[in-house]
Amino acid sequence: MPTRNLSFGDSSIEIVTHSDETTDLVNMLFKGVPDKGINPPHARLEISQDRDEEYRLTRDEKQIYKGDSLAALANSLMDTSIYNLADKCSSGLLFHAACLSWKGKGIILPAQSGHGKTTLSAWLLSNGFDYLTDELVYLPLESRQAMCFGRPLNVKYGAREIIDDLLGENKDDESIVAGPVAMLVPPGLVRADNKTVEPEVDMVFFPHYRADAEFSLEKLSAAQTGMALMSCLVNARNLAGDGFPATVSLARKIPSYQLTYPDFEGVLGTITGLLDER
Amino acid sequence: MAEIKLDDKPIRNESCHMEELDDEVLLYNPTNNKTLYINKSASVIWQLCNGELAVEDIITMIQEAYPSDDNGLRQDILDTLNSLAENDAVTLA
Repeated sequence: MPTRNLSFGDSSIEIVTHSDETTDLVNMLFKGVPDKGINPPHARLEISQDRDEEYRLTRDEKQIYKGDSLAALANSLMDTSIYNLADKCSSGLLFHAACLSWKGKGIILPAQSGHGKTTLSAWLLSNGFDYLTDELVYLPLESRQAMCFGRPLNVKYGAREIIDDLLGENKDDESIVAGPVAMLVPPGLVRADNKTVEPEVDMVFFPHYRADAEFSLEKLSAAQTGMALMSCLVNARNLAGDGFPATVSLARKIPSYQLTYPDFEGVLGTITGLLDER
Repeated sequence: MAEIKLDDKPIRNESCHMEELDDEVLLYNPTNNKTLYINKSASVIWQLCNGELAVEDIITMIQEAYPSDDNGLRQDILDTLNSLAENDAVTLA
């Protein structure tokens, strides 16, 4: 049975498949996720197909998904994998954030769902940034070296028009997985020479898309940064002091900004300008 | 939220973590996953909430420590205690 280990931070899981189709899906979804980790897998996900050909996803034999949609299976597998990896991650800070690199300098975009992380990431990717993740960033304690959960861009359908523009002639590529609530878009379709790197984080931008707002960039104090980062910390309960001292320590070291934007005009020049000055 | 009384003896939530950053203070409450952004005066008030001092005692101590003609200080302390209580950083008892 083909088995793919996923490793992230100090947490690992394994995914077992039983067909070429689901093996290919796993390889595509987790292409950017390392398979060798510090610790052995703590959870086993298995994808099988019943006699009626419906897909079945289980975690340690408990059913997570059953249905005939490969795209819905992909969404469920992605969510379950992320949850299980984050659940046991205890040697560093795990943020709900996008991460990109510009000329080797890393930025993270921490935000809850719906703040435009993925769309902004796709746009920055199309403008020369290397895309690393739109979901999870791991920073070992007292380190700024980012390890990113390298999944495809998870594009909500509300942003489809923008993404289609960025994809151009690749917009109907068969490697795009169109699920019920979002589509998974390999970053290489937006820019073919996207590179996977592990940069040091040089800046933090808290993105906030607001159609009715004017573009603004506000420098945040260390306390404001710490407060905003805590709201995006995924694995607080696994860490000493609930991850608060380590998050505050990070907030003291990295310049941070609140970025509010109604469209992308001005965003690229602002971010690259700040990074190039460092 | 009940109105704060001067004979209440507020108790700080010991599961909260406090960190000072320059002139600002953050108070993180893991039980509700909320982070409060407070000033140094508020952090002093939170630390005085030991379950033994009444609200009136806390007001007196701060007024003695920071003598001022400002009549608003008393109300500021009450507002701070209310805010801390609303965010489960202190319990009024």
